[in-house]
Amino acid sequence: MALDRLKHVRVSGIACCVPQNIVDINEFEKEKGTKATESFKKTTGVFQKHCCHKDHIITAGDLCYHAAEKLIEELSVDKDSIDAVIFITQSADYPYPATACVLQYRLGLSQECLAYDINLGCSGYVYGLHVAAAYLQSGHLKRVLLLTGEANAHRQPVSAMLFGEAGSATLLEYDESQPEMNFLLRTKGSGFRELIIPYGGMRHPDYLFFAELVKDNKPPRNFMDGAEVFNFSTREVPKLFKDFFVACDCTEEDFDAFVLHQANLIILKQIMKKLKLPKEKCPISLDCYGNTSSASVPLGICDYFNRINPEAKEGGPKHIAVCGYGVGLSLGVASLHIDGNCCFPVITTNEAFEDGVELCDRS
Amino acid sequence: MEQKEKLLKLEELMDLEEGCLHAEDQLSDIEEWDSIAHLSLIILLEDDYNKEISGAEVRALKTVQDILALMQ
Repeated sequence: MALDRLKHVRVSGIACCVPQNIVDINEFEKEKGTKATESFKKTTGVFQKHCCHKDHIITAGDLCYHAAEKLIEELSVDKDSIDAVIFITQSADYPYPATACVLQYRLGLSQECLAYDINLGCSGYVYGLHVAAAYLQSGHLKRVLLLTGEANAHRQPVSAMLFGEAGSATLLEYDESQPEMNFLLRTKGSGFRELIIPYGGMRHPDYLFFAELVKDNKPPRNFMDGAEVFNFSTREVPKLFKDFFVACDCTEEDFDAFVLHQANLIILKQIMKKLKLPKEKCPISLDCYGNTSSASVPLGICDYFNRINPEAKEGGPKHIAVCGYGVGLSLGVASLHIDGNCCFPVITTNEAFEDGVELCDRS
Repeated sequence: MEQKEKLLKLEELMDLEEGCLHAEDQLSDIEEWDSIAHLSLIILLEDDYNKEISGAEVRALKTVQDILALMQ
């Protein structure tokens, strides 16, 4: 059972970055019709999202790079003091090397710094917090930079309207004065087919076939089983929270806010209803950003403190429960204390990294 | 519950005008029977009938009557 309590960890700050380009959901009206578009907005709660152009690709690595630079600057962190970089994405910059290694270089971090990627989606931020917090337990590593991001919406074959692109950076530090962070993490791998890109890996390597499907907008049905993902989210997440409350001897009232992965509004409403969570404690950020996978929780925290409820910056750190659930299928909940003044307004970028890699001549 | 009331619930769910739906209607002919309607039906069955159905069960529904049979 992955129930964990980790001490001596301070979540020192969060910054997020999204592509400058905004896609208004109304732009889909021509293709999908007015009725379907209106119904989409009402049901999913997505009105716009940030997403790069196909001809000017900004990667998850780029978005996390800018988020990390912003965070390091705002918190005046000595780059040489960062001991670990963990990057979580399902749209890595390359099949290899790990994007975290590239980011260690791009950010100008010390070589005395461990770096690697983790392949998780919507649950990724909670898992990342757990990995980062676990690293800090011995007290030898003092600072971990957790990066989570997704930037493949511009080429998503399914539910192109739903997904947005974003990157986040979170700094976790060793601090003996901090209260415990609690975690409960679960996996339901039997549902792996319900949310999947089957092509491009070693099992079904024909990525060109996949690219053709995307181009003609003819994805096979099995890339996302909407009803099953809905069932998983609205049945397993409430169960997870209830078990978490019992295990950690707490209730809804112990938390100032619940920042849930922004899957879509109909799922969020159902989870909130089943757990009887007050609306004002559950910030909704997907109206502006869509579903941004592993970035949606940190993005939601920054959006909560800066756009949705700026008064929450007052009165010291807030006790927040964060929850991620989705592709894997994977899910997790964590509790943390964070000062809203260190959760910075979401920034935008249009800058892509010139990687200087020599590519094949396609002509 | 009266069949008429159940039909009314389904019409509301699919955003259709009252009296549009009939038990014998094929779901594949109804444009509004889309992925969002599938989710709304799952919620309706859980909330009002305390019944959990899977995605495969939703996709296996062929007629309005198939849905009505679940609503009890």
